[in-house]
Amino acid sequence: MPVNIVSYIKKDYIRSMAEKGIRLDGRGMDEMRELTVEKDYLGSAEGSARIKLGKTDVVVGVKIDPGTPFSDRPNLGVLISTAELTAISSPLHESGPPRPPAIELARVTDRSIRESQTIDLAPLCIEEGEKVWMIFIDIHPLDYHGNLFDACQYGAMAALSTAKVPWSKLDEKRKDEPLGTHTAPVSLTAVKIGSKVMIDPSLDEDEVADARITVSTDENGDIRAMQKGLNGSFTIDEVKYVVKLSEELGSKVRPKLMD
Amino acid sequence: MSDPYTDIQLIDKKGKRLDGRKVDELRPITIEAGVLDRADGSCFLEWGDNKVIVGVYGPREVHPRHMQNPLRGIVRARYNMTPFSVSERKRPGPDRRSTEISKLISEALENVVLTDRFPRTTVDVFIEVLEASAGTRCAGLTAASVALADAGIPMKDLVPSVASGKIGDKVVLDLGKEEDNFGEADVPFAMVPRTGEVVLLQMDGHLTQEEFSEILEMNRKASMEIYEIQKAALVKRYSSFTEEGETSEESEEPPKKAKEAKEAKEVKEVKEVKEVKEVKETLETKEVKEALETKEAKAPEEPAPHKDQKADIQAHEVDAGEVKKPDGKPAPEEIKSGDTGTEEGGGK
Amino acid sequence: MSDDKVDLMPSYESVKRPLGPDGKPLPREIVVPGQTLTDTDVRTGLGAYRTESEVVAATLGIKNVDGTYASVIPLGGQYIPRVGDIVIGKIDDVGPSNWLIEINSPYPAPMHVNEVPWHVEFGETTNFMKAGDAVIVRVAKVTEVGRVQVSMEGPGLRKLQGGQLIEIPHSKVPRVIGTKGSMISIIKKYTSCRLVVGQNGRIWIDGDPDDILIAMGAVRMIADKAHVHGLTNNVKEFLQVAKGIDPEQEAEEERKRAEEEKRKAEEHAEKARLRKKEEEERKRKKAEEQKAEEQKARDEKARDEKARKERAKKEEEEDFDEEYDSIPDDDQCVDPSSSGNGIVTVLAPDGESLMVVDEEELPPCEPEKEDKKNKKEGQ
Repeated sequence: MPVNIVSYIKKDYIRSMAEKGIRLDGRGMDEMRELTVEKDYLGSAEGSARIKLGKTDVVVGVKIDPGTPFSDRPNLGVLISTAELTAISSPLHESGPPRPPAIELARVTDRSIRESQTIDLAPLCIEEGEKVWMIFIDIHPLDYHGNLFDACQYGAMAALSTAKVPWSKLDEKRKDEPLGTHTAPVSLTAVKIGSKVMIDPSLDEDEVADARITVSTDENGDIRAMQKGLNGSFTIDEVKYVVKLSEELGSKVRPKLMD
Repeated sequence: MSDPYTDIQLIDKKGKRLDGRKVDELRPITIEAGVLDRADGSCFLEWGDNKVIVGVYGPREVHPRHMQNPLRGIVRARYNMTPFSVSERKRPGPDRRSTEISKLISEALENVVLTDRFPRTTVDVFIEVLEASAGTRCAGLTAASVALADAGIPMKDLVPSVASGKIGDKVVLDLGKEEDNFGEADVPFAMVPRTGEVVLLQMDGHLTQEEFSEILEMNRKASMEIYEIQKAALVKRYSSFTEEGETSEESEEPPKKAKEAKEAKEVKEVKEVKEVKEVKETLETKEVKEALETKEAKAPEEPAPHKDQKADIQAHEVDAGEVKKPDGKPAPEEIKSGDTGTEEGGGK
Repeated sequence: MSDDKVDLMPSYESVKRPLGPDGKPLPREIVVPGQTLTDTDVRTGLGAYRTESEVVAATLGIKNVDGTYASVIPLGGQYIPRVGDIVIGKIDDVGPSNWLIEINSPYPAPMHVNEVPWHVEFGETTNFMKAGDAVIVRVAKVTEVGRVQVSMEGPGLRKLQGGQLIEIPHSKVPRVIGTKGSMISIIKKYTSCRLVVGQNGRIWIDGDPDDILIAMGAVRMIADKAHVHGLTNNVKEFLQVAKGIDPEQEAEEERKRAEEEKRKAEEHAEKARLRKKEEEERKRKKAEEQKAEEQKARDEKARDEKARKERAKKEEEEDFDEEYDSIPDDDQCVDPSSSGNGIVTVLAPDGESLMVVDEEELPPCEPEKEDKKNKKEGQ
C-alpha cells in the first residue's frame, strides 16, 4: 500500500490551528459533520442503508440467509459482519485481502454490534442444530473522507433497523418479520492532534492524527464498545470526555439511524 | 412459450414480457456522472433494478512496477459484486466469474482508451455492483466508460453495452432477471458507436444463425440509444459551463440579494457552533473540559481580529498564458552554497 | 498516435464562440469522447485525435475549433506536466543524489542534485530536504514516454516553509488567478496573505493563520463555483464578511475615496490649465515687449538719423545763398521716422529764419517730396 506522505506544511498548519481550537472546516471540536441516512436503499438485501457523513459515503447491506449454526450454539442465529477499505473509496486503498487497518475497522464495527447484544440471536433458530438464520452485515465504503469507523457503524445500525427476516422464503404461510434490535449503540470517534481532541475527523484530520478513539454507547449512556488506535495516546480525562460526548451526540444520531 | 424446467411464462402470446415490456424495449436507464469525491472519475448507473457504481483512478503509477508497460498505459477494470447485491448472499472477494468479467471489460476498454498517451501508468476502474438484476456486466461497462470520460481519460469513443437473448421462441432486447435465468440464449455485447466495431461479445445458450443476426442488430440499435444516455449524463455534469457564465473578464453584476444572504449565512453558520453549544450546556464534565482548556493558552472561539496590512506583500503569480517573469530578487530562504543546516532561516 | 500540443494550456474561457443567428455568441459546447470536432483541414490540438477525414474529441471538455486547431479544453482529468510550468510539489522520497517529487500528476518527478541552488554531496540530500517537505519547482523536461524532470533553479523556486497547502482541480487555476491577476488580488487585498498558485492545482498560502483560513475559503469557493455568474462579487463579499468588513461601509468609503480623487484630479487639471494660461500670457507679453523694444530701437535709430540729417542740413543752410527761393510750406513735413521728443526745427515762412515747431503740426513727408527737395538742392 503506497505510504501517504502528508506535507509538513499541512501537518503544522492543522496542528497550530487545532491548538487554537480551530478546525479547517470551521467546525467546533465537538461538532459532527452533516449526516444523511437513506434506508432500504437496495432491493436485493433484507436490510440496507446508505450513509453520508460529510463526504464519506458508505453502503451497508444486511443479508439474511439460512445456514448451519455453530456446534457450540446449536440454537442461535449467527452474526457475521465484514468491512473493507475498498479500493474505490480512496487512491491509497488497494484491492485484495484486507490489511491490518481494514481488519481493525471490520472487527471494531462487528464488536459494537455483537458484543452489545444488539440482535437477539435466539429467535433466529429454524431447526435446532441444523438450520438457523445467518445475519450478514456487509459494509462497503464508496468514498473515504475521514472517519470510516463512525460511518460504517451508523450504516450497519441503520441497515439493521430496516432488516426483515425472510421467513416467507422458507415457509409460504409465514410472514417476514422485522429483525428487531434490542438496543441501538451508536459510536463516536475522536482523534487527538497535538494536545487537542476533536470528534468526527475529516480526511485531513485523519491523516495527521496522533491517536484515535471510538466509543459506542447505548440509550442509557452505557458503554458497549471501545477501541483506541494509532500510536499516540490519550489522558484518562480525555477518554472520559469522549465517552460523555458519545452519549450526548449518540442521542441525537440514534433517531436518524433507527427511526 | 415457456421454459422446459419451470412453469414461468416469460412471454405471453401478445409479446408482452413479465415486466410488461415489449420485445424490443429497454429497461429504464438513468446515469449520473461525477458522484464520488476521491475518485478521479465516477458514475452511478441504474438499469432496471440494477445499481452499479464505478470509480476510476488514473492515470497513476503501476504497482508492482514490473507490470508497467514502457510504451503504453494499461487499463485494469475490476468488476465486483457486493455480497448484498444478489438474493443469496455472495461471499466477498473475486470469484471466477468476476475475474472473467473483469478481463473482458478491461479488454473492451483498452480498445478505446488512447493508452499510448500515458505510458508506464495504469487506469484503474472499480465497478461495484450494489444490486444485481441481470445484465450487470453490460451495466458495468456502460458505467465504466462514463466514469473514464468523467476522469478526463482520452478515449476514441464511449462504449455502450447491452445484452439481448431469446425467451420462448422470441428474440428479445435487454434480458431481465428471470429471462436471463430461464431463457434460451444470452448475448452480452458492446460496441464503439463511431465505427460499429464490436469490443465485447459473448453468447451462451442455443441460437440459429438468423436469430443471432437479429440479436446482433437489436443490440447494435439499442447501443446507439444507450450512447445518447451516456453522453447526456456527461454533458449534464458540466452543463453550467455552457451557460452565459461569467468569465474572468466579464464585469461583475451586483449579486442577487438571496445569494448574498446565503453566502454570509454560510460563513456565519460555519463559525457559530449552535448544536455544540447545546451539548456543552448539558455536559456534566464541564470541569473536565475546563481542566483541559486551562492547559493551553486561551483558545478563541472566533478567529483573531483583523490585523494590519502587511507592508511587504510579495506575489509570485503564475498565469497560464503569461510569460513567467523573474521576480528580480533571490529567494530569501535559499541556503547559499556551503550551508548544510537542515532548517533554513526564517522557517516556523 | 501523438497529437500536436498547442503551446499554451488555455482555459475554457478563452474558447472563441461563434456568433449565432441573433448575433450573440453561441454557448460553449461540451463534447464527449468520440464526437466529431470538425472535418476541415486543421491541426489536431489538445484532447483530440485524427481519423482519415476528421478531428475527433478524445476527452470530455469544451469544443475549441478555430482556423488552425481543433482541440478540446478539458473539464476534468489529471494535471499533465508541461515544460516551463511552475508547480508545487511534495517530496515523497529521497535518494542519495536526488529527491522524488510528487506533483499531483500521473508521473513522479525526480529532481537531481544538479538542479538545486546548493552544492549537495552524494548522500547528503536529506540534509537539505526530506520527505514531507513542500517545494516550488519548474518542470524542466518532459519526454515522450512521460518521464518528467523538475528543477529548483530559478527565481522564486525554493523549499516552502510555513503557511498552508491546498489543492484544487488544475483546470480551475486560471479562474483563481483571474484576468491579469484580478481575482487573486482580491484575495490578497482582504487577507494580506501571500499566495503562490502552481499550475498543478496546488496553492500555497502564507500569512496570519486566521487569514489563511479565510483565503482557503475564498479559493475553495472559486474552485467550486468557477462558472457562476457574478463570482468575483461573491468572493469579494465572502471576504468582506469573513474579515468583518461591512460591505456597504466599505463601498461608501470607496465612493468617497473615488470622489476625493476625482476632485483632486480636477483641481490638478484646473491648476494646470491656469499655469498654461499664465505661461501663454507671459509669452505674449514677452513677445510684445520684444516687439516694442525693436520698435523703440528702430525709432531711436531713425531719430538719430534724422538728427544727423538736421545737423547736416543746418550746416548746409548756413552756407545758403539768398538767391534761393524759400521752400514752400508744404515742403516742411515731418519724417515719420524721426519721432523723438516731438520738436523739429524748420525754415520759417520768410525763408530766412529757422523756427521750432511741434511735430504734430506738420504733415508727414512723402517720399517724392524728399526727392524733389534733394533735386533742388542738387541743382
